[in-house]
Amino acid sequence: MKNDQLGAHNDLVLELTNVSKEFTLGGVFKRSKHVAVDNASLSVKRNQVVGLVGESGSGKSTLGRISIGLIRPTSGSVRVLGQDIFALGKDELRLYRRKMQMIFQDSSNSLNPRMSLQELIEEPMRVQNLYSAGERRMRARALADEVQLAEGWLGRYAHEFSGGQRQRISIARGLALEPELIVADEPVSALDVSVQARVLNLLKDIQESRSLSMIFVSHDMAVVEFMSDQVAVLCDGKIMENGPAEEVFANPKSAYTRTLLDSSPSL
Amino acid sequence: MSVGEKVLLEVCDLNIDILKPEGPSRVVHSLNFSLKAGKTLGVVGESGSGKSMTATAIMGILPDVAVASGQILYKGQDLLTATHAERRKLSGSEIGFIFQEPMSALHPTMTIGEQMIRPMRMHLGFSKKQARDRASDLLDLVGIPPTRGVLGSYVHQLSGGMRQRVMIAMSISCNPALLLADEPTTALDATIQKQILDLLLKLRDDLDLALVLISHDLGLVSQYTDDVVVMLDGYEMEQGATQEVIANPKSGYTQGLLEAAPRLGHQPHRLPVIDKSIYSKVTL
Amino acid sequence: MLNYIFKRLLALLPTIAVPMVLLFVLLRLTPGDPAAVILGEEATATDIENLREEMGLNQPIILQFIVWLGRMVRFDFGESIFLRAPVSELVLAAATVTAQLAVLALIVAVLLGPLLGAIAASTKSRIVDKAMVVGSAVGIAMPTFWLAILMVLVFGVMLRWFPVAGYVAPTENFGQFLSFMAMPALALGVLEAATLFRYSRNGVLDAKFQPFVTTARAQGIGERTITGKYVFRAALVPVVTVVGLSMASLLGGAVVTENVFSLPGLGKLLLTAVDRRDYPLIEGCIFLIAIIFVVVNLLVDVVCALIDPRIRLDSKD
Repeated sequence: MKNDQLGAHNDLVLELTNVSKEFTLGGVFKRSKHVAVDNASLSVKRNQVVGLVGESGSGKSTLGRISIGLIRPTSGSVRVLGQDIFALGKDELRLYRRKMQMIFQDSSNSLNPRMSLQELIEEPMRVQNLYSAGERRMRARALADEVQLAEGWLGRYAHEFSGGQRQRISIARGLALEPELIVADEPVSALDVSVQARVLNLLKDIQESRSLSMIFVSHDMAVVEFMSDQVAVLCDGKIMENGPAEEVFANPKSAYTRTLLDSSPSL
Repeated sequence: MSVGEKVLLEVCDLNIDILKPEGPSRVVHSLNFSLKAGKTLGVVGESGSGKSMTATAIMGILPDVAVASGQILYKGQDLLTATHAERRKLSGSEIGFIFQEPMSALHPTMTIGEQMIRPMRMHLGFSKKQARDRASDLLDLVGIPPTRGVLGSYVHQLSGGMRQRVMIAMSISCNPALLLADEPTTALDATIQKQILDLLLKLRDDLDLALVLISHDLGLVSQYTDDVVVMLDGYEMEQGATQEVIANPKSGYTQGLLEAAPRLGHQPHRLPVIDKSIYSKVTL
Repeated sequence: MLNYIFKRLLALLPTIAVPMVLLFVLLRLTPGDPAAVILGEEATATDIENLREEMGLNQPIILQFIVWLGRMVRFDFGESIFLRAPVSELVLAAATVTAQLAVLALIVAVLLGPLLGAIAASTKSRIVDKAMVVGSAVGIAMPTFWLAILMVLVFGVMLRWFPVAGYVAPTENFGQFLSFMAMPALALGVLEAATLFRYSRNGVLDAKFQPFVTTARAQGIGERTITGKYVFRAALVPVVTVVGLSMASLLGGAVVTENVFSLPGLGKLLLTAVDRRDYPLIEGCIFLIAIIFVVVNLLVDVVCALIDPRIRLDSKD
């Protein structure tokens, strides 16, 4: 049965169908519901970058996390490579996580300060019990090279790296398990313009060379336009507009997209 | 400088040093610029450029470990040689400051009203009632109608945009002639950012303020300023009329900043990358 | 707010019930037969057996527990085995003395601790600050009884400023009451002040470098107003919490202090009761102490919410 589905969805790496997420706020007596994601459907093909753009509270980060199984949606289905990931058992999901990885905005907080660069990149492989110790070391070196971190730095610790370099480390860690789907949540918003350009270029290089599927979450319209093939605009948890990047940016159909475009300062 | 227009702020050969156990380290090097009433000056740079340090030096709120030298002339008076009391008289009433993070820049357990009223009573000699009325008017001016009851609320109860509006209302409460805004919209969403900056420009025109806009975003500065200073690692890279600098950047660094940021409608295969070390005058 | 307080009061029941049940179990596990202790060394085995029967100690523990539970629910603590008086009367009388001691000690602590803390944090002299920090470290490390005995020795025996031990009710003679209470209250209060000092100093130091202080400075507000209004107000919240917590350690310290100074308080009563295996009296004392703890905690939470608007009581359950 699984094979049938894999055949049918050959080209679809991620398929979100009518996904909603409600958070319950407050205590026992005064409860209120907050709809973070409201009936969103979205798909990502192999070798495709889908941008999720919206303002704070639009639900873009929640949708990104749902896509790789970090948050369980209230309703709707999430299929990664044809497999409904929330139908998997706990252990199965843990193993399946290899195929989908996340790159966070604030990488400095997500890196263990007691680990060297070498250990940091090896860690995801170690956690998943992959490869021999020797092979992990080899792979870590190759990954460091791929994200343009010098071999001589492998013994350094996280705090010895700059913001841009730490983001490269996060990217290398994300790639360590050879995922097919990457969710990058505001990966460059904390970086200076000059550093941001390098990290964006690197992400594009890697995405193209590995034919990765990617969800790129950002509040910055220009950055999303640069990165994405397809764009979904979110507002209050709803997808306002979804289409090829050129169309959405050149001829936005939704008034909200137009407001966002008008508001972004541009040269 | 044309006749009749008076220079309000003049920064001459400003140096800022951070005192460290191993000796002073200079973070701003012989910076010069000037600003007239009714004009906006943008100071642009990446982190470590010294742009925020410059603003805090003008306001006189440098951290204890930092020392400024040179001259900061405000209406002809050198702020760096002014006494503590003289500076206090200018702070708030002549020069206002807008901080990047209003959440932490406003007191957590004091009502907005109380925080707004104190400076007005001090600088303008207002009674409590007068100050409260003016606070209410000011909030109205920055787009918060009195019906919102913001005067009685606390900072954590407001949204990000509201907080920054309160901050702005506070900064103009004692009729300053010069307003320093340090990354005033960096923490805000794009739509709110636009509202806040439009508001600042409107206030500048209505109140004939001189405005210094500190930002990392050249795109934003290009839309909202008359003149611009581009800084890198504490040095001025270039300065001039904003439109001129954007159209024909003289410094390769400015050029690099312009190109490295993704722009709407431009879809390069890869972004051009700046090699900052070529332009940086700091020798390691 | 009222709704919150009501909810909290409901939540108090288990907070009091758990230590009481624990106490019941622990008392029965403690070696020493209360009947034997009560009757003294000359008692015969039959005397002891008769008293055990009378006290219900021969019944199975489960049955004892059910009987005990029934009494607890009715707030019936019975009579003291030794003093032959209703436990509630004894405990309340003793609690009055303890409350007087605790309040006086708290006044000493609250007057000294935060004030010195604010001075240490504000002073430009490093030596003064260091000296005060070292002093507070000594205060925190010093056991209550040691300071109490030292004070008895110096102010009571050598200088003869204050009476060494005893108690006079304030209604009887207020001046004498104060002179008897001065040393115990100081002994207890100074040590509490040391803890409060640390929190106040850190609170002020922390608040001093917050961005809102820079904002006030940018508005031309004077340093004195900044310290007095902006810094202290922000530093107040953690200090109030610690004042609440120190109520707990005050009660603990009172047990010792009352015994050193022979004050007829809850601590002394409890110690005597434990000595004599006076089960009902022990239970009465512990019950009241538990109630005091819980009520003080509730008060602290309410006060914190009043001075810090960020704590919204309604949102908690």
